[in-house]
Amino acid sequence: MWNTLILDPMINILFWIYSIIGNFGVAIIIFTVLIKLITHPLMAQQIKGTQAMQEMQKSKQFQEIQKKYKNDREKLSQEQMKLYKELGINPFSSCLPTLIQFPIIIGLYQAIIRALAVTPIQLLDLSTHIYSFMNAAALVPIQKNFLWMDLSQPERLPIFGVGIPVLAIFVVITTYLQSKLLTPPSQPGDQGAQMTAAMNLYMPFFMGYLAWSFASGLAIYFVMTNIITILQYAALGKVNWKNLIPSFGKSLGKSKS
Amino acid sequence: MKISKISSLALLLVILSIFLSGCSSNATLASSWPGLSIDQETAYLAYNQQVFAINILNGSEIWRYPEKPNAKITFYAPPALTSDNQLIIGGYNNILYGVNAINGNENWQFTNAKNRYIASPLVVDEKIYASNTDNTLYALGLQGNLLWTFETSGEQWAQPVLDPDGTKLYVSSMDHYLYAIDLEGNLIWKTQESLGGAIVGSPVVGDNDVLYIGSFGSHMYAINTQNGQVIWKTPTEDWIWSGPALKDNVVYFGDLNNYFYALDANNGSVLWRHQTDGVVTGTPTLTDEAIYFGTVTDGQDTGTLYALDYQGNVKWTKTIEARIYQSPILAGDVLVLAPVAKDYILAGFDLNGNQKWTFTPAKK
Repeated sequence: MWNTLILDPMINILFWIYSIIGNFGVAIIIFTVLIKLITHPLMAQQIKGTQAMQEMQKSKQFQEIQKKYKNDREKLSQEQMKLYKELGINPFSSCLPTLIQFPIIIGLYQAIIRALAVTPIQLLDLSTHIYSFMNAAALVPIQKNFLWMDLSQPERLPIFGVGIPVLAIFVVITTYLQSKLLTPPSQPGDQGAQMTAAMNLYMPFFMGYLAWSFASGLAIYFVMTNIITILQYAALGKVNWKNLIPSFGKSLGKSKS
Repeated sequence: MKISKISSLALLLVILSIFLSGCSSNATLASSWPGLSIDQETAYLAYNQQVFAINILNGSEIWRYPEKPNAKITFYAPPALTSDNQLIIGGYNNILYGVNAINGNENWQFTNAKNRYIASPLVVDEKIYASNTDNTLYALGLQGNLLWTFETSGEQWAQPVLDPDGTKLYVSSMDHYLYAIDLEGNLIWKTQESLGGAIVGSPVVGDNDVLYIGSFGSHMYAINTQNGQVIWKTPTEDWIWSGPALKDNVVYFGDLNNYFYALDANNGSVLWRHQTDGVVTGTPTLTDEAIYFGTVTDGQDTGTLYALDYQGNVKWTKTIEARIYQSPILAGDVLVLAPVAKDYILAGFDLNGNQKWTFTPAKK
């Protein structure tokens, strides 16, 4: 089921792009852009839903309900549902698009790993995923060289005899930028915001470690995903520049006032 | 409160890391099938993080290398034995090892290669020929000293083959071409046409200056060993993974669409073919009595050991809870099989397909 609906189509689209472009690094980039474009409406809906929920949670009505029924959980949830209905908010409008995007992102990740097939078992497995009309024999094995990288190996750029993990550094920077720029402004004392701040600190290094140790084809995917996600948020006007440069936010605030 | 948040974050990161590692090509789980070679009463088995020397009469362990497994080093290429009792082992960590075949002590390491060793090294007289996935064939002395290299345009996954006249080596490449080189690493010829797909099996060389090789282009080829010209080619149902075997002017091999073929070596005509229950990836083992090979059942963790007669009739089959990627090797009256199974890594069968012993490495 997973293979038929998600993985096999993705592997074959990736191979189809590769058959036209002839460069697997570029094929990964195009494929990632394509998938992010296709899932963009879902992401927009998710952002919209999250924002509506956040605004509703700040509303007076919501706060009053919270206070009033703080000792009666059942009643509280009934009242909350009533409020959702009144305001025309679907509480699942932010989580459903996320759920739909999740298998697509996992599929994209798996498709890249499987297409790189560097061992006999992986290549044998790959042969079962490629559609018969694809002329797989002409495409396999893929050419794994891209710029200075072997896409199946962890990336290092030799500079004066020292291998610098350039992509891993890019992954750290873009993950940090993404987490900073996409975090909504928080209220003082917000516990969730403290958790997010901690994640924002650890996540870039964690992703950087993965990029440092995994095949560089995956690191390219990480960097591209981060960049495209930032661009998607920017296109929707949801990038919080002041999270990144507080003075920029302040000066923006001053000029507005 | 703060501590619990940090620990839940750490837990989340650990779970995420396990999940991503599972999907990664660098995972330390077995990423290929075992590599088996046999010398008299000893089987040498390269599988995952260790290489084992096993007595094939009773399935007992003689030694293992390295003594303690190292998650960064894995071995899958069948080891090769030299005349001075060294076992040559290629690693997925890009290193070729020379190990004392008597006691498993390491003699030397060759670290020039830039990628993993999938092919078994070939040992001829005092030289080692090791194909690597960095597209290079490395020729070494018996102390691991580099003599010369020969590069192809694609990765080399198959063991090189020495021509019976002793003057030429044949090198299969995933660049769709087969190469003939002299024993100093100079190119003699490259097949005059692309063989339609990657070549991951070793050719078999027959009489009358002809060799036979299959490719992912779903054809078996007969090639003139003097000039690399294709003499005939026969289509198959799917990719050919294994190198063929040759006996009495008949070429035997399997494909990835569950067929096993017997072709007339003179003109490539199909003498017979037998439908099996799974893909055939190993070079068949030919004896006077039977043809032995194994299968991997589609989408399952089972495989079947086949014994066919030379007319293509089934003598017996034995289905086991294991994937059989390589054909059994005959040692005396024992068929030694290195399948991918849950409970064991090596098994001995008699010539009627009855299991005599299995070998499971003891935890140390």
